Amino acid sequence: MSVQATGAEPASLEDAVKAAYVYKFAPFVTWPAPVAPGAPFVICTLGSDRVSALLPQVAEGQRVDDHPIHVRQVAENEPADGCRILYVADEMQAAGDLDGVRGKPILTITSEDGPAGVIHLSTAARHVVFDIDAKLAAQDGLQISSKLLGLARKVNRASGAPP
Amino acid sequence: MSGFSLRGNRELPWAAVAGAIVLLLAGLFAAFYEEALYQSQRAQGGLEQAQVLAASVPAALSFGDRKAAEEYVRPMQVNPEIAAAGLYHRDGDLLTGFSRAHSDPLPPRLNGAKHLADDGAIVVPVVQSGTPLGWVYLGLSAEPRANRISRYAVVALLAFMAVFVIMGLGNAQTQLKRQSQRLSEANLRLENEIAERERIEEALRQSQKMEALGQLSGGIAHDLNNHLMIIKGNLHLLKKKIGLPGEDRHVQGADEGIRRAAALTQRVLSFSRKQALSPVEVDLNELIGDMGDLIRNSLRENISIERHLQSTQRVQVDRNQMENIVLNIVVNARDALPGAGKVTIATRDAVLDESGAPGSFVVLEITDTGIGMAPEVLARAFDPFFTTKPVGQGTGLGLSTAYGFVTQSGGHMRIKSSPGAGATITIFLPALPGDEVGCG
Repeated sequence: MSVQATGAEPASLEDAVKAAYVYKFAPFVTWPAPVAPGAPFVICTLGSDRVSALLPQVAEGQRVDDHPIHVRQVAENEPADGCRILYVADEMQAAGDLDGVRGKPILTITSEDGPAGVIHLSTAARHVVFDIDAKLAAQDGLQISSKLLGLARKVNRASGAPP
Repeated sequence: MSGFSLRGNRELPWAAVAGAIVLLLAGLFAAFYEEALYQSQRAQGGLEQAQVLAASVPAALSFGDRKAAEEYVRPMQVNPEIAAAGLYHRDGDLLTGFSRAHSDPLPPRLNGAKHLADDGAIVVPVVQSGTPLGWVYLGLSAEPRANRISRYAVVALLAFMAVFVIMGLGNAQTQLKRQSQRLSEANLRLENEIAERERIEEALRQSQKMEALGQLSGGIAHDLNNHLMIIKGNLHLLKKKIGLPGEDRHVQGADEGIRRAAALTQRVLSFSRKQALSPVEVDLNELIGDMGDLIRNSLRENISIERHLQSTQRVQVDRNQMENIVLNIVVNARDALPGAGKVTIATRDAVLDESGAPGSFVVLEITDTGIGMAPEVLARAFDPFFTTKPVGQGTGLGLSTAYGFVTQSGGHMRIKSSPGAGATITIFLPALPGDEVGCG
């Protein structure tokens, strides 16, 4: 997978992998309402970092169950309605900006430091790994496939679910 | 019976061959069916394995987690029917997989969605929630030879059975044919033996009849001759007693009657082989040569004579009687020729080895081109007083006298004739040993 860096800082392979992960999670997650036929699968980005900068490029031409992926930048106070996945850039996380999407069926993905979303990406030994907060996902009305959970480094299980 | 067995022989192998062919076809069909069933089950089994793998690996494949993917793929090695298994990204790159030794390696890239039907490979897409993520590739191992052999053993067994059936039936048929041939040969032998026996019995009957006739007629003729001599002697004594002249008409008439009666008794005696013969060494060629004029004179102008006198040996017979007999037969031949014709007189040497009359013989054969004889006439030709000539013209003693004479001289006699084909009378007389005469 070759990725062209766009920002001033050169994009690392880890950033490209993270960007790809963002849309690759989609098939393993079930939202309460399916995407309307013919409508795009919308991935939103909040804030800006190298991953969010790469995302439109990486997700270009990709599809989630026949729906073309559409990447959209959302402003801080803008309601994230219509977004299926919300990638929150590093810079936003400290500010507790995730509160606005809590309880909504939006898969929040965060990266590196700061408060974690449903899925939190990080780098360990030059490998991109992810942790899943299944409990949080359940609260948001999202179902995450056990196949994905099996691949996660850490899983915060939903209460009542087997460890 | 032979017709039935022949037909049976021809139908039997066809039935056997048809049966064997049906058996073979059934066996082949069963084998093909079993093979197809096995292959489809094998392919189905492989497909199911691939689908299970495809259902397990989406996350590992999607996120390129080789370690996790290997954990899914590795259990496939337990199944000996899977020679190779690989996980491929959506873009065709290989993530991970294995291939056994001595089997085809994994393709380095998998292009497109098409299932590779050849080489028993199976390709199944990896899909998560409708999103295609990659491919599972399964290479099926070549079937173990033992399995294949055991599957074909049934067909081989059927084929062998069919061949054995053919061989068995063919063998039975050959034996049947041979047996039938032996039977028909035995039958033919039996028929020949029966015919031979009938012939011998007929000859014996004829011989016994001639013997009985000979004894009866010989006894009568002998006594009659004695009585004739008494009559003759007394006639002459009476003639002297009453002083009749020598040329008395009545005495001459009585004398003539006595002479004729005496001649008749002589001929009957000749037939009954009680004739007083004076056998001498005779060269038949010379005898017939000497009779040339006599024979010529007793035949008509329109009858030609042919002579083939080739015997080299002499015989011992009463010369006068022999001449009588030749003349008798020639006259018979003449009478059998209503118009022109030919009489052939032949002599030759013959060595007979037939039972009853072996030895060296001189053969006299007199053949005519006359009207021939019907079988019933032929059967009675040697009987005394049997004649086909009008009353007064034949005595019926010619051939019977000849028969008696020849038999008394140690030989035998045959007649061969059929209506319209003339007649051949053959006389066999024993040749005198070691005494050859020059070829006449």
